[in-house]
Amino acid sequence: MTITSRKDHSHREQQKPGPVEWLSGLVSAVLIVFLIASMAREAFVEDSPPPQLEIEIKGIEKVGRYFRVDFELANRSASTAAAVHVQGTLRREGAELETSEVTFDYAPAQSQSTGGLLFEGDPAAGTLVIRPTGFTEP
Amino acid sequence: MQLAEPRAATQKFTIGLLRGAAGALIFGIPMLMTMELWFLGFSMPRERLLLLLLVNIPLLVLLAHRIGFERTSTLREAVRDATIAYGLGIVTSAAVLALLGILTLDMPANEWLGKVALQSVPASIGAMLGRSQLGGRNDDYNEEGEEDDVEKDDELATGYFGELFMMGVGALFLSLNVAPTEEIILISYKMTPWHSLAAILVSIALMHGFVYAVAFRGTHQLDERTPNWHALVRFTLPGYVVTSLISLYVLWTFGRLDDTGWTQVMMSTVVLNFPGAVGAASARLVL
Repeated sequence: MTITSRKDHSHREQQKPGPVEWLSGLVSAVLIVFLIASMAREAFVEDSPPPQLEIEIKGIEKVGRYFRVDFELANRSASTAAAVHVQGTLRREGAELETSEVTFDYAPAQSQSTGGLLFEGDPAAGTLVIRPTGFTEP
Repeated sequence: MQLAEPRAATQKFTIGLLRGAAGALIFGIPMLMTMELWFLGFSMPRERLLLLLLVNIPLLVLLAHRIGFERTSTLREAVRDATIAYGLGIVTSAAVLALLGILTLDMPANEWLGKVALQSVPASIGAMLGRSQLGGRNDDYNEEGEEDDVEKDDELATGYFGELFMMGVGALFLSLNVAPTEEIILISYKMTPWHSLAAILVSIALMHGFVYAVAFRGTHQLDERTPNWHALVRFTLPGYVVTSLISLYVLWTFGRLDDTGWTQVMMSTVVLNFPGAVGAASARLVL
């Protein structure tokens, strides 16, 4: 408990704290030590290899005039990538029909992000390749 | 004298309203002029926005009970003051967003609603703080004179959880200021685990120092026989945990934790805890 004086706006902590205060303090100390320990583990144990980007196509749907291809960009590494360019190429019988591009601001470490590419032709009728083409360090 | 009293009461109430609006402006402008918050206003998940708007109600009521437009003694008065503060927050946010050309007539209604609703949360906290922090010295003394029969002493006792609540409000307020910006996640990407370790320790040290060491007005005194680490364990460490929970909640609300790895979640929490800890500590001094 804290006593606040209205006159000089000073606060004075009560002399005899209840068990709740000590219990909260103890639980908090444990949580903070856990947080610090996890960070320390990251600092000592984990090395940071360059970003490892993978793309998985989630679905193709015709909406309006275009075919929308939903995909997931996963970064399996412990380093974050920025400005990740993703290019989708639609081919039929070896000929390149069209390409679409999108840029992700970030692909956070060990995280997934979703995006979409739009095509005029039906991606199901040809071969669709979606791949990341480049990134920068944040 | 009898006839003049209602007029004086109305005048006092109007001044209170204006102070609230001023508070909403002072504390709300940094957020009203943040691009990410306009976008979040219409793009963030509706259920998270709803939850934030609902969480704001008990928060304002408790805050009103503590500082309020008037010194409140009953729950009804606290609810009334909280409602007024929320209303002022909404009106001020809408007015400023319209003034800045962010709300235009060709926008759909739900975009208006989303943008104003999101901004009304920090603005309403600002409205509440405006009354307590911008209040003139003179009428404070007058009030105390009037309320002498109600309040026997000039001391206000805050329960332990009241103290933690104040820290939470302070942390929430500063977190709302910075959490929507891209900088928070960018910083967490740039920081190494070493940086975040340092950030944790510096945040805790700042929290403790602000309240106990630096002799600000409103500084907390300890009994002479109480060792310093007692206050650290009882107040500062729980305060840091409260700040972390607020950071997590705010980051989740703004969709910064979606599909994000555990390490990144911790890193961005630690980054947001830095301003949060400063907010929590200053709330203990100010409120």
